[in-house]
Amino acid sequence: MGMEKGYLCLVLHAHLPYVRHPEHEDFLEEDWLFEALTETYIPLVRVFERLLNDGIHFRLTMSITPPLAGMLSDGVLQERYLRHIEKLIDLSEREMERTRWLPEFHPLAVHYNRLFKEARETFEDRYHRNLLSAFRSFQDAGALDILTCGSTHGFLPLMLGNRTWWRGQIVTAARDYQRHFGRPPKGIWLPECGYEEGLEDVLREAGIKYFFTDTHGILHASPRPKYGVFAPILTRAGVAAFGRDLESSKSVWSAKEGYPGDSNYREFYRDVGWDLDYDYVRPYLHKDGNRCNLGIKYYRITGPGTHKEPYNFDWAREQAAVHAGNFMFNRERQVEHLHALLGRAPIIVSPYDAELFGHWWYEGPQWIDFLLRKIAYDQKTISTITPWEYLDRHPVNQVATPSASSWGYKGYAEVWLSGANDWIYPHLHAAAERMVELASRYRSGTGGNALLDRALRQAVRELLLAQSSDWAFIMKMGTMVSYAVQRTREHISNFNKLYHDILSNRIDEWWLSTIEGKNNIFPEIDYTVYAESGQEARS
Amino acid sequence: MVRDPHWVHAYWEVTPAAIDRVRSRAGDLWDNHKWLLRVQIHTDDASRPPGGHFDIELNPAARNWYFQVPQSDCSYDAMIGILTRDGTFHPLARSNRVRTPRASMSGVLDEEWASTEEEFKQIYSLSGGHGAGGASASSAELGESLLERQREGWFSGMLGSMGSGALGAPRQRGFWFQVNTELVVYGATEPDARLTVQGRPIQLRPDGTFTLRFQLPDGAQEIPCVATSADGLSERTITPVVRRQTTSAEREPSSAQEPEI
Repeated sequence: MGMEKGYLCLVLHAHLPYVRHPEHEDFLEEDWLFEALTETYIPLVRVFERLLNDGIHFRLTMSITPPLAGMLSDGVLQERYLRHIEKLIDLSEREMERTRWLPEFHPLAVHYNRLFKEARETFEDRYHRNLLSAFRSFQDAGALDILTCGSTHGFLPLMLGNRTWWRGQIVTAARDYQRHFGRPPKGIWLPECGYEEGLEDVLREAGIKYFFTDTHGILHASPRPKYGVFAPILTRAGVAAFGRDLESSKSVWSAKEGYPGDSNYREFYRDVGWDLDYDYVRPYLHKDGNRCNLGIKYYRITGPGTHKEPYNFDWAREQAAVHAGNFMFNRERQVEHLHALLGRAPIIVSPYDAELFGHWWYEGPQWIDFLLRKIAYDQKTISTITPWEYLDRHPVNQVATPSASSWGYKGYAEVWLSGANDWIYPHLHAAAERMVELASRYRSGTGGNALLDRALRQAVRELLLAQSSDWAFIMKMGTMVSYAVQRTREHISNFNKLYHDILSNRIDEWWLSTIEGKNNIFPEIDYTVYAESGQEARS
Repeated sequence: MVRDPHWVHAYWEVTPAAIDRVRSRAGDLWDNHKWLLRVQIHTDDASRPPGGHFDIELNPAARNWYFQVPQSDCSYDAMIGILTRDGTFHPLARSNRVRTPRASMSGVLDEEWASTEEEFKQIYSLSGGHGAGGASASSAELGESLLERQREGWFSGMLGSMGSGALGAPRQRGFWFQVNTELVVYGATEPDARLTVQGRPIQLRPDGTFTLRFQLPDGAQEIPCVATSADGLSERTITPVVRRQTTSAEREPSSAQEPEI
């Protein structure tokens, strides 16, 4: 340390919407979590474990959003993941038999069997079903900086600039973080990188020291940022803002030029759930019997056509090493150039969705492993850093206000505000207003009325769950739309019933218990975060 | 709500009673009335021309509207209302005020963190605006080009791909056909016997039966199955020999069927 000319700040944004359906024995959308566990979260845990065991110096920044943290620590989902991974192990054992006479495929089946067993072992034996304890230990070891996020990943720029509503997302998230990670969060990944002026005040209130914006959020800041995205700016509230570097982002993200499209990498769309005899895979599908991805995939991308060659683990691994070397080389050149130009050590901020690594880009976790080892051993130009360490070393930064922005398609709010989803906002805004009304009325407590207290707390949960940007995103993308619509309606309707029940002093305890059991996010939620002070109420 | 630097979205709900109040006030001027969104421009920058407003005529049944605004980095609010025949605007509700994002680099410079225009354009370019015509491009052009470049990527699409697992592979276009074969080998012996198939030990079910399922490639497979009694004194060997030979024919030019699993 200390010799480098610049820094690389890798940021992984790990998020899934809160999907938990104890009322159904088997639920398709819960697979999002299970697939991400097997393919992304557990492989990342294993990468970090290996790096730490080998004494590799590395720094990585990773958000674990409150809904994801809630699901990872939830007993029902933990039990269900075990059931899920057991089924996969069973399937992979049958696959080892079935591919016995196919020398190109049999080793792959053996490999999957080993991976699934390792996943079970990591999940069940090493971390006692709660993977948060793994990430927490990496943070406590100093290697990982865990970011919080909006409490349910609500897209903040579409909340009419209302600070109380923002508090519901941010303060709730910061408190939930404390519960899971035993310390307050230093940084936040704003949902969808959605920033609007004024947010920094609420971040400061929640004790948050830094956030991220997309490239143009910093570049279009005012006054003009002298160092572009290669140094953070300080907002007037004193909270720092780091901007995404586009060049490094593109080499991973780009559909055209990005690493994940390499012909040696695993083909996402060729899955045994679709390729094999229906009767054979039927026991591993959901109750509806529809084919779906099962997670055993035997082909490599090969080329643009439909012809696919068998996957080869060794070739893919070599390719991941080559790509890690290429990424490091490009960052070294970038940093050398910028260092000369800026006269100061630049920070290259490279944020990615965590689920890209492993789930979509199967070799992504290996690539991270190679990259962090190479950076530690093969060069001296760059070192990995967390934003907090950077601010500690470079406390003097330009004061400026970022430009409103997001990292969604076209850079602003269009993904979440379009003909496909704009119908939700009148409902979301009305519910948030009503929540403020309720919380302000009971700001000094419910006078020992435990049922009323429970109803108020559940009202916040329902509001927050309705605000998840995931629903608007799914409506816009056009797949699984009915689920997103149903979730939005369910939470708004639950909220409105609670509101009316509370006002008319007719709380239905049996029904309340039911939805408390179902939508159980944030056990320690505090509704008074929505209470407005007299001063705010007047303005 | 702000969609982007150039577009704003408004929604509203007007009660019949509010409409009736305007109607009774307007009397016979009510005929041929129009629904308007009157957008007020708020310039908080003294160097800019004064604000003013512009009107958007609405479909009376509309409950929301997307409209283009003249300036990025500028504040707006709007009133929904009715324009009567005499040109009087009867406002029914006023919106919150919003500010559109800046679409290009700021014109505000900070003396303490000064850099020349050239230097800044270089940094800007390196941050993602490169290939935009270099330092000669205007800041607005650089801004547009930056966003253009960002659009090429995937961005935050992972949830979409988490979900798309239920959709399966994009299928090849045109007519297609696949045939594959699997072989089921099954049998039974004494529950406590030992069994090997092609030399590998196989676990019997409690009732002594077994089932094995193999993908069957072209060629011959010899499958010696050997059962040995628990006391090791008796042994039976049964060896099915299976041969798969695939032929195919096509009536139109296309590539041969790929080996499938």
